[in-house]
Amino acid sequence: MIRAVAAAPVALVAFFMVMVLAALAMRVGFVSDDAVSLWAGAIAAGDGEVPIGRIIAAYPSMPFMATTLLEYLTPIGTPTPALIAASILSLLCFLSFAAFRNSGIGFIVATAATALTMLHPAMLRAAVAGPAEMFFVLFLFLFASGLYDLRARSAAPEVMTIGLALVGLSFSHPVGAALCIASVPFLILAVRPALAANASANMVIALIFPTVFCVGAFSYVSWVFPGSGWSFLTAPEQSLAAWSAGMSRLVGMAPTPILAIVAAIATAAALALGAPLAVTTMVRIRSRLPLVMPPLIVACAAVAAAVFTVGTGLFGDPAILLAAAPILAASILMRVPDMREHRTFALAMLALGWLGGAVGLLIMDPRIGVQARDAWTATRGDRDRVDALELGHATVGMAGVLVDTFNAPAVVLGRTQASGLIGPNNEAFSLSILFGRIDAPFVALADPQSATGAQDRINRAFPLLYRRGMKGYRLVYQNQTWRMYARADEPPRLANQQ
Amino acid sequence: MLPGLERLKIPIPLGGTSNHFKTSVLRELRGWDPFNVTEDADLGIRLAQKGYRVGIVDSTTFEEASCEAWQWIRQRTRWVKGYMQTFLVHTRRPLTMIRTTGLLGFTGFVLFIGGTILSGILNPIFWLLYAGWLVAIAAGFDPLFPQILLFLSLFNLLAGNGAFTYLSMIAPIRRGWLGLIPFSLTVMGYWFLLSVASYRALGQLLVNPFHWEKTQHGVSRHETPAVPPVEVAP
Repeated sequence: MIRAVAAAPVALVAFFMVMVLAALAMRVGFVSDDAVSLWAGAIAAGDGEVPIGRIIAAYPSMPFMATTLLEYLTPIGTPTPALIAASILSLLCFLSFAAFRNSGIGFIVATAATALTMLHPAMLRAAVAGPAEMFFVLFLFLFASGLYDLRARSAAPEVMTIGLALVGLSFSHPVGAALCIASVPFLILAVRPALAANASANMVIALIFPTVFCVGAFSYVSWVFPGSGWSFLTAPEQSLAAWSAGMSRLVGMAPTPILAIVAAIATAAALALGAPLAVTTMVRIRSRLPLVMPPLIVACAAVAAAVFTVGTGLFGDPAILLAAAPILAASILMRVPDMREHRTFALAMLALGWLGGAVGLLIMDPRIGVQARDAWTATRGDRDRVDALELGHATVGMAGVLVDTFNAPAVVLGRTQASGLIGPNNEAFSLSILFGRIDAPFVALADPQSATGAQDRINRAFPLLYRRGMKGYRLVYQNQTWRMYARADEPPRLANQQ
Repeated sequence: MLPGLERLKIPIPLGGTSNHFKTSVLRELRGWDPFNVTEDADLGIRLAQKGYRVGIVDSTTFEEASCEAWQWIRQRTRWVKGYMQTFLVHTRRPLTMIRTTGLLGFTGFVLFIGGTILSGILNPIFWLLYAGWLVAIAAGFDPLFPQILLFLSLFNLLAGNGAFTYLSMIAPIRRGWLGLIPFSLTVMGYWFLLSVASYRALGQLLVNPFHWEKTQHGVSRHETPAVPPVEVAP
């Protein structure tokens, strides 16, 4: 415990770095669609605007539950996703520092190693991306370190640790679910050979049973409470499409099934660049299988997960898999005894991995270069997103704003609360769409020519509303994407914002 | 489970083989209750009430398990009936029991002994309710059961069955008996058979409380490898 406390400086730096980067990313509109949807959903749930059944059936469950709980407990406007992501990264700093010290590494080397692995570009990207990514990283850390113990002993506690890690991965991020599935064929290599020879399939059953049962239970709950339980089958399509477009530009080819192979090669290359310590160490100790197998399983599972993610199109953006690089490096430094005698070499490799991680990030997520440049020059990136945030901010203090928050969750973020908005969760919204009649005090909708507006449910039901307005309503707010009309009897408090 | 009860200082209902007593203590307790069909469980509670501690020795005693369904039901009928007798005897004066075993000990006794009985009795009723709910798709049940009860029941259904199956799966790993792992998936059948035994026990408690249903031994064809002889240090 005392050893872990010594990691406080690195953990504090990590915490504040994530908070600042996340605030910057949000300000310029560079947060992923999945993260925005999750946060908006959590705000709505925290405000009591979502039925409890839909909260229970929401996916990915862990980040959604954690964000909802924090939204409920903290004052309005608290950046809860950034807070959770920063806290998890700080926790990882403490855990890895303590593990480094417990493995006999000195204070200074342990501090430097913690900084180089936990503040690795892939880790910072995950932290800025949101709590789902950081829960994924946390359970990947547990998985990677648990594999060493499983290979060494394969007793009940080790089996339970891996079982817990696989459940955590599956319910923290869609790509975690892909990694969990992809790791199954490799799990048998993680079991002590003497046991695997007797009943290999039975050990795999014991390792994956918690995940299979939890997925079954989650499916059942989704059936009992009709809601968003199956949304992971469709929601990450947008993020995968964005990743595919970026990768296609990078490799100069259209998105085809071959892109899955490209994803595998990109993941393997990015992991090697981001964790040269893992590559060199595994080559050097290749005959010592108990030490080689665990990192090899993680790397193989990550590559297979990339193929699975891109090949099926069900699990979203595979760029998060690069987070395996610093975790591989950290786990090798913690568990391979030779590292204590080659500290300088290990630190040099970690530093090289930090630089390689930045390159790997450009390979795994080609969009990030453009995003970083725009952030540096303070250019506003996603115009639709920024406009939705501004609309949300403009609605503060209004009650009864009819708006498609499922299509534009950033409106909820800009407003910082969901109460007062009439979204698709609300029966009044459904009735308005169904009967083609609006009597809400305010109605906001996006330009049908914009990407957001093309999907807007209000636009579809009232195709002329954006352009011509509606009898009994007057325009009270507009920006480049959005217009908001107020019922004629509403006081003209927003007239100056037109 | 027994080491956990020991650590929590909850009265341990002794059972089965390999119980070792100081004869002076047995005499002080005036032996065991010959009318209780799980006299060992009753003895464990009385030991705790007298301030004695039951310790667990980390050793193994091999015995033949009931490997036929009817034999198993007969054996469990006796055990559950004995638990019913023990529960009724020791909860006649609950305040005395709280005073002698402590609140935690009393709670542990009620949950462990009483819970075993109650779960066997209630299980089929709950499954029938569940089947009815599935058929009716909740339409007729909503007014009777508030939503909070639905959440609690859902949690119990999923977490209870999941945890019980997983515990049955993990337990053989400690011994290296990995061949038993797949059988843990049949744990729902265990619940069913336990309920049959519980209702038989309830019936016997009412009409034939002191009848001892003997377990027939020598049925299993499985042979456990001989325990290696103790090596004497030179």
